[in-house]
Amino acid sequence: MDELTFVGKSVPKVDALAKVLGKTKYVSEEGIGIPGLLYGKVLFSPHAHARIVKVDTSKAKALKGVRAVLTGKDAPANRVGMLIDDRHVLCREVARFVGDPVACVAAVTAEIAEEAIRLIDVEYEILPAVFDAELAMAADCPVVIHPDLPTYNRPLYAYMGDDLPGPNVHTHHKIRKGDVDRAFEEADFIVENRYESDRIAHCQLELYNSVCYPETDATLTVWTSARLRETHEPLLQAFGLRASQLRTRTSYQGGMFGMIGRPERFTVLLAQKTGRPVKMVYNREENFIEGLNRLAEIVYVKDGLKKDGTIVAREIRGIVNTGAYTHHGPLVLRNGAFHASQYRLPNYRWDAYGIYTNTPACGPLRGFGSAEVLWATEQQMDLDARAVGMDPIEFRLMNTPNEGERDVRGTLVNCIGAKRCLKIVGDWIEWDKPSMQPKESHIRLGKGIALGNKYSMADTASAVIVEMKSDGVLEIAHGGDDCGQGLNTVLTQIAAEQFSVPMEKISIIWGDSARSPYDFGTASSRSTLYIGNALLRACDDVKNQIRQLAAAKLHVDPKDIEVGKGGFWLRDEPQQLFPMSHLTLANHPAARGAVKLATCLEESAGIRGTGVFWGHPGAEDPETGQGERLAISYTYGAQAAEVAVDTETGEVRVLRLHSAFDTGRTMHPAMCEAQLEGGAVMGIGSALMEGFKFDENGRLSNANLHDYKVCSMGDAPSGDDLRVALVEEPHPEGPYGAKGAAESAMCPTASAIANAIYDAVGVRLTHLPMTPERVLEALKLKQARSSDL
Amino acid sequence: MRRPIELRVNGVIEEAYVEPWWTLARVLRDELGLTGTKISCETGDCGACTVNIDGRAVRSCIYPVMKAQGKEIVTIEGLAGSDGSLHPLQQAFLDNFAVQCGYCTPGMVMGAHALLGENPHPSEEEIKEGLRGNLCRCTGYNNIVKAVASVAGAAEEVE
Repeated sequence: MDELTFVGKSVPKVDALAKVLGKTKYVSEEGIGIPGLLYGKVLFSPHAHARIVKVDTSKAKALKGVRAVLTGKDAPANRVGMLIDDRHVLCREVARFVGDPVACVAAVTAEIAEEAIRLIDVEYEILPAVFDAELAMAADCPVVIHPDLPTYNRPLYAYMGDDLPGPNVHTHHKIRKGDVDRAFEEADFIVENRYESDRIAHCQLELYNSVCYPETDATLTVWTSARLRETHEPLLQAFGLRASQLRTRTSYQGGMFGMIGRPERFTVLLAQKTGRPVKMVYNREENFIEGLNRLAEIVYVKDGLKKDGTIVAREIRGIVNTGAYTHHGPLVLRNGAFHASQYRLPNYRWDAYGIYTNTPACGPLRGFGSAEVLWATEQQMDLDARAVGMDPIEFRLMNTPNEGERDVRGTLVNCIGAKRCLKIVGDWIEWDKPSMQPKESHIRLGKGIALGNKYSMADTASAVIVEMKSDGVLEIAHGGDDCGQGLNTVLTQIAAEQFSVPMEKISIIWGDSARSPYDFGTASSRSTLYIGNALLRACDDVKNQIRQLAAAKLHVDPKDIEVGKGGFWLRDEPQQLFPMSHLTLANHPAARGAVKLATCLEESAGIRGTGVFWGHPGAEDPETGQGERLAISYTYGAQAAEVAVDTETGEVRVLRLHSAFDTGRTMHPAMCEAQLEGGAVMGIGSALMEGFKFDENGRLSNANLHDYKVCSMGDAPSGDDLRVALVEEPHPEGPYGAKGAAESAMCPTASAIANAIYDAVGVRLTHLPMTPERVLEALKLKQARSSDL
Repeated sequence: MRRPIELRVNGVIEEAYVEPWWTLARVLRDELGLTGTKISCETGDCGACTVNIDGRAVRSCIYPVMKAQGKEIVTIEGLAGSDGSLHPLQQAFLDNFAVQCGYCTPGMVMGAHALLGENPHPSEEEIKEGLRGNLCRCTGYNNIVKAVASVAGAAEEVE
């Protein structure tokens, strides 16, 4: 491998200096202090399911300082949705969950906007509601949340709308491989269980916020604290705008984890109606209610095993509560099936159902479906190992596919470092030694392990534009997002490497729909692979143009020109570096009139190159879910946890949590390790403390950071107790062999902790989060059972 | 009714017209333009708005601005030297890759600054206990602990 200067090195993170100085301008800072700014606020439905009989806005409109009070009839009449168009910008006739937006206002201060919201008088006719996904999915469920579902459009993955068992079931995704029933008949052991996970929130620290400015040419500029493309495209759809009529902008986001922009549809609507700039910041409660949080899922798993430890069949039935609207839900539940690629499963049946309930709409959260299913399957693997009398690591190693095998959907498994990862974390946690039990008999220690993975979808594309400026600066324009994961740093490393220039010579344009080229967006752990590849191609394009120009100037073959270090040189004469100015018009009269080359010949112009990378997906069979190439890469990884369970309080403390992930060629080891540590700790929160609580009327009762706990510094292991290994298995298609890493980090965590709890106290927790109450309940049940014997 | 008040922020007397019920965070951000102080929970549960008042870590999102009069307020903008030199904590956050999205960073740095003011040589456990009210969703805290410990350790070496 060539010696590299920037790639693979822990260079300074390009955005970190401004961040430690408090100078970074997040979108939260946008609009502060500008004249004429209005503040927006939303009225949310207080009922889980209700017909909107009458809305009286007269009192609100009469309040001094109010500039607009808008209801469903003022908003676009068309429904929108990424996979199913099931939602209006504002409710028109029916509100379908506590928090469904019914009206919005704009006023000269935030306080007046709040007061105006209180003055809106809505008459509701309360309808019966359903919150439980298994009740809602019944064919005869008396509550039908979207009676018009059969007439809704499905712009993507339409086949998942076939074969729906009930009126509240909006999605059914299938995978069929082999003969599962026969394999179960021939199996020596059958292991079955049910697992459940509650909703969790992204809890990105920056509150959802947006500002929309009406421009003088009748276009709009909207700022979002969320991702660029995930915000821009839905707004165009919702408001029937052409791309040129709406400029969407973002900046460094204060955390993301899969969250999707929320207040933008209201700032756009209010700015359109008032002709004034409108800012809206959701408070923390609104973040919980309106955020598209991780959906709740019930997973039934049935495995068939041979005595020798071979898994011969697996059947999974997933029941996914996506809330009252679908958003990304159908795709999240479909992609939950990718988890299955981590084991050799000769016979496999998967049915995942997306269910409407009268609860807040959901979406993706770090893992996009994987973590919810792995929560079930990685506990199941421990149960399986026990059934066949094998060690959990040995059992996993035996059933993990090798390089070049095809997974259950027919997609090639490559650069799989899963086995190496399992061995590393096993060594680190000292798997062969049982936990040392403390003197206090009510504290029990145990160890657990889990394997996880995260796919990156193949049906996406990225484009990058690179311009070499006349002063030697390279300007990269991309359409991804830097939410702190370090995309801009990685792209800077690649460009600096490609042109042998210091990182200071790279500048980046991003987060602006008017200037950023097309991108599917920062999602699916795809940015490094896709945008990195597009950047490499754009760099090649620039270099080739320079070679052409230089060759014409120097009367040599373009192949003999090397480009970099702020200029170019002849391959055989590396000591003589020609600056870019050598190619400007004044120095290159022979090129006058050469149309193709003209861009670089103006004194101040640069050379612009483009690169596009497309994942070349294979088609997916709607009946079997099989596809030659559905994922472009997988990141596999293992985690091992040691926990202490207090059998008196039910509290679980994670003493050690070690991770090993195959990250392809690591672009930036320090950032990659830090991101994996962050995922592991987020995983602790998801395992032990995070979960939405609803009252009997469907109202969220812990929508704040006091009652909804995330993992704090005091709860997290650190130092030698939180180790990360980067297992380098270069990806054949990745830039320099790199692939994604961000999401995989929390996929196996909850299961590793659950398996450790089982090792410690012999109870299996099957419902996430594993709160002290649930742990105590399980311990009591175990005690009751043993005293019955 | 808004009324004029004086605040001493980062060594400078600042004048602002405020409603008496406003929080310090609101005034710092919206009136004084010191937007390095972040607002995230508005209930004092996350620490993103942490500033130092008379050397102590304070949650400015729930701290009444009227109460801050006559006190020495330091925000993230006041930590670096006037010549642009970074405070050792800021440098340590960079060196240890303790910054990802950065939204918790100003509050985290100011929390650590107050912690080290009160206890110049905290143990790892004391750092983790002292900053447990400052939430970070990106880093898993490990590099933050390392960064703070490196400054605490360096202070020890100087002595």
